[in-house]
Amino acid sequence: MSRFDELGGGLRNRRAIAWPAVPRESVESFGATVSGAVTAGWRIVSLFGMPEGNDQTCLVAVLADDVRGELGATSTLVGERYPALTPACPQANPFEREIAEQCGVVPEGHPWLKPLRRHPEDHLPPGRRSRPLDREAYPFFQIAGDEVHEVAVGPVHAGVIEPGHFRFQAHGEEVLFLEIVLGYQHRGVERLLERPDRERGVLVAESIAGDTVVGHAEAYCGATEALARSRKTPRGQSVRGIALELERLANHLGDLGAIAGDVAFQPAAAYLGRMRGECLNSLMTLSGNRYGRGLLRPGGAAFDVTEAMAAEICDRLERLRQEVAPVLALMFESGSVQARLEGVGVVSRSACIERGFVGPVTRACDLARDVRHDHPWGIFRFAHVPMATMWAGDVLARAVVRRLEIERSLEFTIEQLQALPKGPAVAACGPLERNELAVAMVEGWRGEIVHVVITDDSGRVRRHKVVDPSFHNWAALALAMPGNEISDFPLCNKSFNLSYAGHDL
Amino acid sequence: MTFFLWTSAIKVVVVFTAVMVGVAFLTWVERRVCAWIQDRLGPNRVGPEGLLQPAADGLKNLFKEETLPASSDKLLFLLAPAMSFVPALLTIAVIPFATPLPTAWGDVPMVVADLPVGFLYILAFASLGVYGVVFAGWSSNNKYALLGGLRSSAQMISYEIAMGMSTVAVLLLAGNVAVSDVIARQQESTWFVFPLALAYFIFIVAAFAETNRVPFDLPEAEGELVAGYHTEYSAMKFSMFYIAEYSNMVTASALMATLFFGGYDIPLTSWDNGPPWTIAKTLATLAMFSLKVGFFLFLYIWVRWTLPRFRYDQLMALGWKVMLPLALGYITVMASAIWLLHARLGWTYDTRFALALFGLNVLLAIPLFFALDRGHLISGSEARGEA
Repeated sequence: MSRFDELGGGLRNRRAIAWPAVPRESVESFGATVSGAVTAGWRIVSLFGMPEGNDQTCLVAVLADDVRGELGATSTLVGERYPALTPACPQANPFEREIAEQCGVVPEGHPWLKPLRRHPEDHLPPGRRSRPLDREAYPFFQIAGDEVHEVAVGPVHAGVIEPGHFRFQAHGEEVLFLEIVLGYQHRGVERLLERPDRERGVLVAESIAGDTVVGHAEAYCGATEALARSRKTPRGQSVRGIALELERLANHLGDLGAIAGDVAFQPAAAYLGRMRGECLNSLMTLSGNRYGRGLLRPGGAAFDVTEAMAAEICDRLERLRQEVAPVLALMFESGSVQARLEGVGVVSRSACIERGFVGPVTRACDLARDVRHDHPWGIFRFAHVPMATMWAGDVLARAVVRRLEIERSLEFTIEQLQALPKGPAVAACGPLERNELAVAMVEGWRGEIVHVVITDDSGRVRRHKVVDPSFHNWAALALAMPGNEISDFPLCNKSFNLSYAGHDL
Repeated sequence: MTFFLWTSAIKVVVVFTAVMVGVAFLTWVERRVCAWIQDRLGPNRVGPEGLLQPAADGLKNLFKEETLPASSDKLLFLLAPAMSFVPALLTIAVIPFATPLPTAWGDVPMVVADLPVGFLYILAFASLGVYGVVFAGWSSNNKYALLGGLRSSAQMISYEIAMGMSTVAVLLLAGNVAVSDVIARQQESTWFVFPLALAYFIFIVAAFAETNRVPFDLPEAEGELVAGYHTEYSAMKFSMFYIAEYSNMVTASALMATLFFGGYDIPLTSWDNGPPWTIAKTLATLAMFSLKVGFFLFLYIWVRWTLPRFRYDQLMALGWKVMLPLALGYITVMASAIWLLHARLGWTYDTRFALALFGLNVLLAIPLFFALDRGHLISGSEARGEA
């Protein structure tokens, strides 16, 4: 067992610990602790920098042991540079690039130190001057050869999607290498969340990723409640769980429809597109907004579900359950659809473990990672949603995982709606405790959403770190593409359906 | 001679107009049928039942800005839409669509040009269509367009061979390359779809690939290649590619009807098979022909909204490793069978002859469709390395 086991100190999903209880190590020992823990089966949940003093940066690592449902944290103090963790521990790769960009700290020996979002440092210690930034300069990886050609896609795309730039090194139709450049959606979310007016924070959290409103709001509220020692009511927890699963349903249905559309399988694309609307309409009934904005507030749910509303949503979902089964069967049992999805965009199980991917991507290669199981919170502590896994790791497997999750979420949501606990839906949520660290994890539809909040001596937020599942998983898309045909890129992309805004923050 | 010139001129104008109007109408049909399949309404605002929608679209396309990419090859860029559209229309010229029309000056054959080499003409012009697509892809100076154009040339050439091979079987039975003789032979006994069922199967698959329709719409593949070879086109030049696609569908449907379903022949009666020609016969056979063509057009639309698209390597593998050997083997088997029945047993072509060949087709079809079934030939991409 690693030394990290002792350093956990009782940190759990949504259980705050005192900030001074987090060990402060030397840089070398910090690196050894993190990579040792990762070797021992822990996983980096978050790794970020926080300005400390005049010109120093405090690096904080939050790790998770998914088997025992425990979290652990450690920290160190660095100046302008420190030895990078990535060579020993590839999971740290995007985090260290982020630290270099946000805090102006150079991880020395980092093998792929490229700009992540291309923005000026926003967490720079006050005594340090920021470096000049050239947004256009990006050192692309290139493959040389007479027959190798380069295809650039984006940041402006043909469809109504977010901006992102994809650079393919291709040989004929075969993709040799894919490099993804993001950052076009950077809005300074973490800075906004660290502002003193916490009432507005939840609105910011809701707009981190437009399709994961409930997920991010849930994580934001979870961290806030942990720090405020607010005890949510059972009814509030149920309503939030229902909203989260409705969001998952809407997005999974939409994704399967989009996958069908990408192989030009029109029947499923049309039906699933409509069914996605049904789920959004249910969220509309629940919250007054098709994406669930305004429903989740620290302490519970902003407004209660009446019996009539519950019955209406129940009816709609019951109908959906009957309608969705034949459409999914039509799609998954059609031979030529299978032939288009099988073996495309494979992400291996070992890559998932090594790079720390999360969500349905990992469940599609038999890596059972699901926050609802590993670090359950709220309603998921009492009511289990069976986890869906596949083993092939290809587009088909990811689609099947979504199909199973649709079935299970439908069942869960209907069950919860029929057995809503009595009582108020919202509890008081007071000021935050001083000098504490809280980690809130949520299994959003894309995977693990993490909000880490550290408060200062006056109970104000000192650092609010957001990790969207896309932050981990964009690398999975880049790994999945080589060896596939360039024309399968939309299909692969859709099977991950990652968020640009969630990554860019 | 003057009579021939006059009637030909009139026929050219009438057929051209009919095809153009039909194509415009077909875009409306496609959208309505797809809406019907998906339980929606489809265009229904412009005119009664949305019938004037094609006119509105055409008008819009006429008034849209024409763009010309700065670094394009101007001549080819302008030529490409015409090149893809003209061959489709020219092929229609040799297809008889009704029995001759009696007039005061003599009988007028209901075909624009009854060429003695009609069949070869069809094959020649069908293969010209690929130039439009390749020119468009090449001259646009755009990577997506080029990929789409190259895919398309490879695809169309691959499937053209299978298509040509499958029609050889028709020639074996018809004994003549004139299209009117092919129809006459079918009127005498049965439609060729029975004795040549597998040839028809190969032909229809190849025809779908030739017309770039789903499941073979890879040159366009809007989700994969932006829009394929016509990425850089706008306004009327853009819609000319669409007109070409739909004209190709009409041509292919007319060919299927002619080669395998007796053309304008009305089944189960020989009333329409010979003189004296009357206007009633002309109208009835014209209606029959339109019905058959309409059915195949519907089939095209039906398939598009039902089946997914192939991946490029699957498409090429199917073309070269399945369709081509299949067509070659089939010709050999059919030629031997026809020789056996005709030269050895002394049968002449009649219903008995056709039924014997039909039986042979069924025997061949059973192992073929077993092999074509999922898991035997069409496989996921992990099998690409081995193939």
